[in-house]
Amino acid sequence: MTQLTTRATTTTLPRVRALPRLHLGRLALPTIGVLGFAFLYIPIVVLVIFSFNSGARLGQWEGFSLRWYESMFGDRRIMASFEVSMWVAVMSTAIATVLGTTAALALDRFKFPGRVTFDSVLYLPVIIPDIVMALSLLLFFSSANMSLNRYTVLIGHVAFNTAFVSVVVRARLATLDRRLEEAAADLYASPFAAFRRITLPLLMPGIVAGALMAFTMSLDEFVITSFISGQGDTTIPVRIYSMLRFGLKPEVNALAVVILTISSVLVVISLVLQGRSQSVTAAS
Amino acid sequence: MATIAASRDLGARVGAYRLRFDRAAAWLAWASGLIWVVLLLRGILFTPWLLQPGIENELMPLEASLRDLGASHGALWIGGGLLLFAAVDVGLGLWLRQGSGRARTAAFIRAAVGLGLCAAYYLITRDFVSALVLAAIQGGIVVFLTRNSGLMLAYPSMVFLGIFFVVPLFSVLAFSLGKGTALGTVNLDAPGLHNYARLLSPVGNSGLVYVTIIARTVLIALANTLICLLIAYPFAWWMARQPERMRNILMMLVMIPFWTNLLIRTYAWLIILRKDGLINNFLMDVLGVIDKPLEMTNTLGALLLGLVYGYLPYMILPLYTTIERLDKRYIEASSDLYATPWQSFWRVILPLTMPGIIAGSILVFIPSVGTYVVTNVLGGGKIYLIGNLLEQQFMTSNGDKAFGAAFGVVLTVLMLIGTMVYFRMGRKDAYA
Amino acid sequence: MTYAVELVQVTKAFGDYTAVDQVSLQIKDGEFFSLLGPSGCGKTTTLRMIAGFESPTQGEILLHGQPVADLPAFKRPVNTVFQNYALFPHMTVAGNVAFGLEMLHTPRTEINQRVAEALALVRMSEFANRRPHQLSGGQQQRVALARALVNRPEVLLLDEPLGALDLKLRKQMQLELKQMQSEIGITFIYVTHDQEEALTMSDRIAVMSKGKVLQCAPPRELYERPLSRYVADFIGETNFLDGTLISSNGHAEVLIDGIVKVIAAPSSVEQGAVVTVAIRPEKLNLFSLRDEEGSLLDADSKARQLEAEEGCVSIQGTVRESIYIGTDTRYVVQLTDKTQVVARMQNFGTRFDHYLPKGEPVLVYWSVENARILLD
Ligand SMILES: Nc1ncnc2c1ncn2[C@@H]1O[C@H](COP(=O)(O)OP(=O)(O)OP(=O)(O)O)[C@@H](O)[C@H]1O
Ligand SMILES: [Mg+2]
Repeated sequence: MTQLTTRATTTTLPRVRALPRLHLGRLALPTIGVLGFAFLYIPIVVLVIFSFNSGARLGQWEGFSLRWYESMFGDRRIMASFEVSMWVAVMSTAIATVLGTTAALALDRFKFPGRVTFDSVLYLPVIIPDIVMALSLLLFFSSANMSLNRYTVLIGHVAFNTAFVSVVVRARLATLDRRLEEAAADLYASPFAAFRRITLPLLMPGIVAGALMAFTMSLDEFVITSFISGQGDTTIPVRIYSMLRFGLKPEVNALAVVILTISSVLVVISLVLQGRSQSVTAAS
Repeated sequence: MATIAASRDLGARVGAYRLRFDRAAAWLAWASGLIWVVLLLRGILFTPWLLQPGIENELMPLEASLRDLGASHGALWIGGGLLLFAAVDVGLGLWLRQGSGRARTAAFIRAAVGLGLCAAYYLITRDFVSALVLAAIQGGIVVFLTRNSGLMLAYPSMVFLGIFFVVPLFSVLAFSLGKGTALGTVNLDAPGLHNYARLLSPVGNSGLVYVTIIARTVLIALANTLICLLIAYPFAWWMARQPERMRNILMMLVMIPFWTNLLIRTYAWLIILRKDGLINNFLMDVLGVIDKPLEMTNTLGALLLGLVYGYLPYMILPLYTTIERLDKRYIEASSDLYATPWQSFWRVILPLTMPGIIAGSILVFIPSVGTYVVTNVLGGGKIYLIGNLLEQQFMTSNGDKAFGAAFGVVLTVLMLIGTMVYFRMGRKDAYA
Repeated sequence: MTYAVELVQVTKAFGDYTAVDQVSLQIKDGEFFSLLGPSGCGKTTTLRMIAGFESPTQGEILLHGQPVADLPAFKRPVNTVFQNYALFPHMTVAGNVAFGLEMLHTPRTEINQRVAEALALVRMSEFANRRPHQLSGGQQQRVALARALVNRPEVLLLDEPLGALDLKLRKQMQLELKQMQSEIGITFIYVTHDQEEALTMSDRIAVMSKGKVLQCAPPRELYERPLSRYVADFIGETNFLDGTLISSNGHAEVLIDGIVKVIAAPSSVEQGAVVTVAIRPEKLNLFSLRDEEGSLLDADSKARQLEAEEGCVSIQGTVRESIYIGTDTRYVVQLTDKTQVVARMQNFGTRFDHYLPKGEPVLVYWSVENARILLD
C-alpha cells in the first residue's frame, strides 16, 4: 500500500522528494560523495589490512598472518591497559549515565536554585578544548594531593560523560509528551512510580544510546586520560601513543583494529537503537 | 458507591507526603553520624600505637595530624568532639522523623555547622576525600530539607561537576598567577601576572615566540575549519539527496569515524605517508618514478591533511542534518521568483543552512585549536602549536605548570570570545 | 451539605496574566457539570487545578468539604480524560486501563476483572491487546474514558474529550457519555467550547469568559434567562434591541431608536436607563398584514386582537430577507431604519406555512416574559 502510493507520487511529481540539483554539473556531486568516503575510509582499510601483514615493515605487504595479534594478546602491558580501559569505560558509563540522566530530568522538569548556571555548565565541555579540561584536572588533582591512578581517570571520564549523557537524554526528553506523566499522576502514580512506569521506559532508548556513546567516548578518549593517568594505570589509547613514541611496531596496527572494531560495533548498535525508537514514537 | 480514596483521611496523607523528604534527610544525618563514628574508631584504634616512635610509614592523614597535635590530648579532644557530633546526628535524625517543624530548622543549622566542621577537618588532616564525602552529605541534608525535588535530582551531578569540572577550571586561573617550581609544582606565595607578561614578551632574539604560537595555532585551526567546510558542504548535500534507506547507511558510515579514536585514525595516515610507507613504496618499487623517498610527513601539508581527516566528520554531521531538514519548497519558491541557481544558493540556501555551518565550524575549530596528537604524529612536532606547548609544560619533567596554566586561560578565553562572536554573526542571517 | 467539588474564589495567574479569576463553583454529587467558554478562557486551567496539576495562586479547592491544596495529583480521588487522551504509547489498551489499579495495589484478579468490565462498558473488549497508535481517534477516546472510569473515581474530569472527533461520532459519543454517567452516577466535570454539546449533556453549566464565571445555571435557565448580554449571545442566537427604559410600571417599556416601543418582562431597572432587550428568534412570531386578497389590514386593531387572544405584545415591521433552512425559515425584519430582528418560524408542513415574501408588512409579536431586559 505505502509502496504503491510512494511510487504514484514519484511518477507524477518526480522532483518533489529529491533536493533540486545545484547545477554543478551532473557528475560533480556524486564524485565528491565517492571521493569523500574514499578519503574517510582508505586509511582505515589500509590499517586493517596491514594488521594482518606477516612482515614487520609498515608499508610493505609480505603475506597474511595473525602474528601481530598473537604478540599483542601476549603482551602483558597491553593486556593490563585493556583491563584499565574496560574498567574505566564500564564504571564511568554507569556513573555518568545515572548522573547525566538525573541532571537532564531535573533541568527539563523542575525549577530549582542554580538551574540556569547548571544548565550552562553542562554545555561547557562542548566549547572548552579537551586539553584545557585535561590540564585543569591535572592541576586540581595535584593540588588536592590526590595521586594519579585509575580513579582519577575515572573521575575525569565521569565528568565529560555526564555532560554528554545529559545532553543526549535531554534531547530525548524534549520529544516526550509531558501530559503522559500528568496522566500517570492522575491515575494515582506517585512521582517515582510515574517515572519508573512511564518516563523511564519511554526515555530508555535515549539513555541506552547515551550510555553506549559514553562508553565509546570513554574507550577512545586520549587527551584527558593521558594527562591524569598514573604510571601503571594507562588506557589503551595512551598505551598506543607511548608505543608510537618508542618506534612503530605492527602490534599497534592490531591493537588499533581491535579498538576500532569495538567502537564501530557500539556506534552501530546505538544508531540502530535510536532509529528504532524514533520510528516507534513517530508511529504513536 | 465504592471509592478508592475516601476523602476522610486526605489530611493525614498530606502530612505523610511532606514527611517523606524529612525522613530522607534523617537517613542522611544518620549516615553522616556513622561516618563520624568510623573516623573516630579509626582514630582510637590506630592512634595509641601510632604514638609510639618509629612507626612512620603508612600514616593515615588523620592519625598523622593526631600525632602532630601532641599525643592523647589532641586525640581526646577530637575524639570527644566527633562522638558528640555523632550523638547529635542520631538524635536529630530521630527528631526529624517525627516531622516537627523545629527539627527542620535545627537540621538546617546542624548542616551549616557540619559544613564548617568539614572545612576544619580538611584543614587539620588534609584528608581531602573524607572531607569531600562528608561535605557532600551535609549538602544532601540541606537539599532534602528544602523539599525541592528538582534540587534533589540535580544535586549529585551538580556536586560532582562542581568539584571535578568547575572548580578545576577556575583553579587554572588561580595557578596561572603562580610560579612554577623545579619540582613540577606551582608556588602561589606571590601571585601576579608575570606569566601573562612572559607570554607577551620576546624570548631572546627570536621575537614574540609565544604570540607567534598562538597566531599560528589560530590560523591553522581556521584553515582546517575552512577546508572542512568546503569539502563537507557539497558532500552533505550529496548525502541528503540520496534515497532514504541509502541516507541512513551513509549517515552510519560517517558516524563511525566521528566516534572512533582520532589517534588511531591519524596513525593510519602514517602508514601511508611515511618514508617507508605505502605511497613511497609504490612510487619507488612498483613504478620506479622516484629513487629517493618523498618527505611527506612532518610537513604543513601532512598536518593539515591529518587535521582535515580527523575533524571532517564533525563538520559533515551537523551540515547533513540541517540540509536534510531544509524545506525544498523554499528553493522552488526562490527559482519561481527568477533566482538563478547561484542566487538561490547565496540568498536562500546558505542563510537557511547557517545553523549547521555554525555548529560544524565550532565542532571543528575548538578541538583543532587544542590538538597535539596530529601535530606530533604527522607533523613530527616540527610545527609547534599551543597543544604541543601545553603538553610540554604539563607532561614533561622540565615543564612550568604555572606558565602552562596561563596559556590554558588564554586558550579558553579565545575560544569563548570566538564562539560568541561567531554565534552573533550567524544569528543575523540564520532563521531556520 | 458538602459538595463533591467546591471552588472558593480560586485565582490562577501565570506571571502577569490571570488565566482564572476569582472563580467560585459548587458541584453536587452525581452531577453532570459543564464548563463552557471560548478558547483560552481558562477552562483547562480550572480543570487542571481540580486535578492537582496546577495549584491556585489564591483561593481554595475542596473535595467533599476537604481542602486539597497540599494534596498532589496522584493522591486526589479524581480522574481525568485528557484533551488529547494522553494514552501511554508503550502499553497495550489493557495495560493502560489497568495502570491506575496497579498503582493502588489492587489484587491482580480484581484488576483483570475490572479492566474487562471497563473495556466492555466502552465496547473496546476486542482491542485489549492493541497499542494506542493502532486505534482510531474514537477508539482512543473510549480507552481514555475506560482508563479513568475503571478507578471508580468520585469525580471525573473531562477536557474536551470529543474535540478530536468528527461531527457524527461526536453526537453518538455525547449520547453514550451521558447515558454512562447517569448509569454509574459519578460526578462529571466536562469542559467544552461547544454550546450545543453543553446544553444537551449537562445538568448545570458554568459559562466562562476571560477567566471569570459569568453565570452558572441549568441549561434551560441559562437559555431562557441569561443574566448578561455575553451569555445570551454565547448560547444560541439572540436579538438585542438597545434602547431607553421609559416605563417600568408592571411591564417594562423600552423605546428603540426613539420611535418604537417594545414591551418586555418586568425589571428592577430605573426609568431612563439605557438597556438592552434580548429576545430569542424562535420566540418571535410573524403575522402578515396582508389578507388573502392582498389588501392591507389595520395594524393597530390586529395588535389589539393579538393582545386580547394570545396575551402577546407586538410591533410593526417589514420583511427584509427570508432564508429557508430546512426545519425553519429565518426572517430578517426591519423595525426602524437602524434596527432589525431575526425571527424563526418552524416549517410544519401544513397550510399554515405561508411564505412571507420580501417587502411584506408584518406584525412581530411575542409573549412578554420572553423579552428580557439586560443591563450591559
Ligand atoms: N502554563 C502556562 N503559562 C502561561 N500561560 C498559560 C499557561 N497555561 C495556560 N495559560 C494561558 O491561560 C489562558 C487559559 O488557558 P486554558 O488552557 O485554560 O484555556 P482553555 O479555556 O482550556 O482553552 P481551549 O478551549 O483552547 O483549550 C490562556 O490564555 C493561556 O495562554
Ligand atoms: Mg483547554
